[in-house]
Amino acid sequence: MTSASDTEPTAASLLQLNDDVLALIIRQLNVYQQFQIGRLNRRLESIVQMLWRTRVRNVVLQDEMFGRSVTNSRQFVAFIQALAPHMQRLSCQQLDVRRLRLLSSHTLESIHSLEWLGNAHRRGRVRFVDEDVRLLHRVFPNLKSLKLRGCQITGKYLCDLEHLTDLRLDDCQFLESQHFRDIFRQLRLRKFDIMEDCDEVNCCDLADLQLCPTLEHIKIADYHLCMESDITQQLLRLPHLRKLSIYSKNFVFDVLSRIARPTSPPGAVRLIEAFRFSGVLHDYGRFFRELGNLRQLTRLELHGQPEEEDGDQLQCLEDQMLRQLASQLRELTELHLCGYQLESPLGLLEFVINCRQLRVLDITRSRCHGESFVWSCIAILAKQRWRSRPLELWIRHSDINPEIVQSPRCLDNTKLIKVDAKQIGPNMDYTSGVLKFSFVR
Amino acid sequence: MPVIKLQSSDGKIFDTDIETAKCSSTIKTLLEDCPLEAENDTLIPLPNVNSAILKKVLTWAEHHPEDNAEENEGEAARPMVQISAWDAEFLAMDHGSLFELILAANYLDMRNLLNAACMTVANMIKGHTAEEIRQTFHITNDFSPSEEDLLPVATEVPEEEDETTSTVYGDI
Repeated sequence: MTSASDTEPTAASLLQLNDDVLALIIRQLNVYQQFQIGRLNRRLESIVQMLWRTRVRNVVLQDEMFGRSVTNSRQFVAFIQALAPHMQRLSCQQLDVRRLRLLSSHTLESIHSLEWLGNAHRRGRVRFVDEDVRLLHRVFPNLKSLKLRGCQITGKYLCDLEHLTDLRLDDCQFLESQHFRDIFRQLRLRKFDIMEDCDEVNCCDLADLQLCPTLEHIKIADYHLCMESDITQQLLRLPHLRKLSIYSKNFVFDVLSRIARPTSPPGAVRLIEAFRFSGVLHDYGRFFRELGNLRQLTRLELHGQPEEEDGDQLQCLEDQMLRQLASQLRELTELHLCGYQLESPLGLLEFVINCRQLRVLDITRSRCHGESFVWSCIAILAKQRWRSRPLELWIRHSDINPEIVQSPRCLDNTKLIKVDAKQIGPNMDYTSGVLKFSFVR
Repeated sequence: MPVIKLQSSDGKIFDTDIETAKCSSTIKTLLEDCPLEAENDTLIPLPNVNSAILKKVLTWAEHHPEDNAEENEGEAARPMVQISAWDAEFLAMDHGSLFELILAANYLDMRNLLNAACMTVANMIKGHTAEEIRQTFHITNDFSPSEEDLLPVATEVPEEEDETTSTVYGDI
């Protein structure tokens, strides 16, 4: 509080501020600086502890945080131990692995999720190796989720992380196929992801992937499906499989046909209810013919990307193949055809006619003769007596003027159609070249 | 425009436009609870704020009329905002005054001023060593010697040793 005579010669101290205000200031510092400040004075320590009680469940550590300060081993360990009761998820981003090794004889039981994001390309850097996986086993005995990026591991010892349910490996270029057998046999994994940067990775054989019956989400590359042998059919029989994402640069049709036309007897494999693909294709006819085999599909999502050589021209979808597909996929409730040039409205309208359960038609970024498509839709919907809900039409960035939402014809027909010019799809993260299958529960 | 009088702890009176004064939620609540009986006659004493600081507070309030509008809409003030060039220049003052300003903003419940000033202090702390922070902000050490053991020791340990040969596990 300021006094009546304000020209006191005493030096201004941070401690003259009250606790609430100090908390406001300390909150803005990174967690290591919070720790340092807490070591200066008891009052500051109690404020930091108060903040940490609710605010450090998720912690990110980076080398820069320890940069200017001389952080000796004891200091770093004391810091981690101070955080330990509160931390549940830890992300180490470009952290010197030698710091991690300082924790070798300690146990952090509260941490259930760890990310180690290294940079495989940084020369001369000490690498995260197999022995460090053993360290993880000791230091984080309750680890459920692990992501390793840019590590020099072979995969050995990963099978010892007995509570692991979620494993992600990214840009780990020294993985050896032999270790995956133990991983898939011993761990009760629910999620396995080796898809990121898999162009760069040595092709390791995941033939034993199908030995892990608890798997629900799998993300792999096309070559993983068939190295020594084709494991596609076994994967499709995994009892709890919910999502299968396959990155394919050059074999999209091959992958699709293996999965859309399984060689297993009907009933043996999981049914596919949703499919998503984002990328550039050169033969949509063939693609749609394969898709037509997924008769029970309820959600179809295709995102076209402009081809760079054609100066950002949208890829074209012809009416004939769309009409054919519409006659085959009658169970669709959601259709997303985003970023395409449509030959005419007729192809799309066939879906509106045939798919009685269609709830959402998304033509974001697509071009289809503008407003006339909307009027044709309304005309068709008006005749569909079975419709209990309006059709949602998403038109963001398409060739339909967003002001159509306010047009009298649309406003008069809100029971039939709901035009939405703002809707963005749920996932904006579309890696190109990924086929994503979702399975019926 | 109706005007009220704000009186600092050292007795100075500041004639202030009511809307400007309402940037302070404390004052605003006071005015709402005790409606004006006679125009231009209301005097609000602020025993916790001296004239130098009150003057600064009012300068801020005059420059940030939108602070009042936000409080009106009942929204929480934006938490950590960008500090504008004007704000940065305004907040460039000795630590003593800055802390007094913070305490005044806290007492007067002026969220945006408080957040901006606290952010300024946080920025002064960022990137500095513990010892530097202690010295700059005159933080007394009240830990016992054994607890002090954990405090950083200033040595010349280089941050990035030569890593190319360090592939032996456990070599720290």
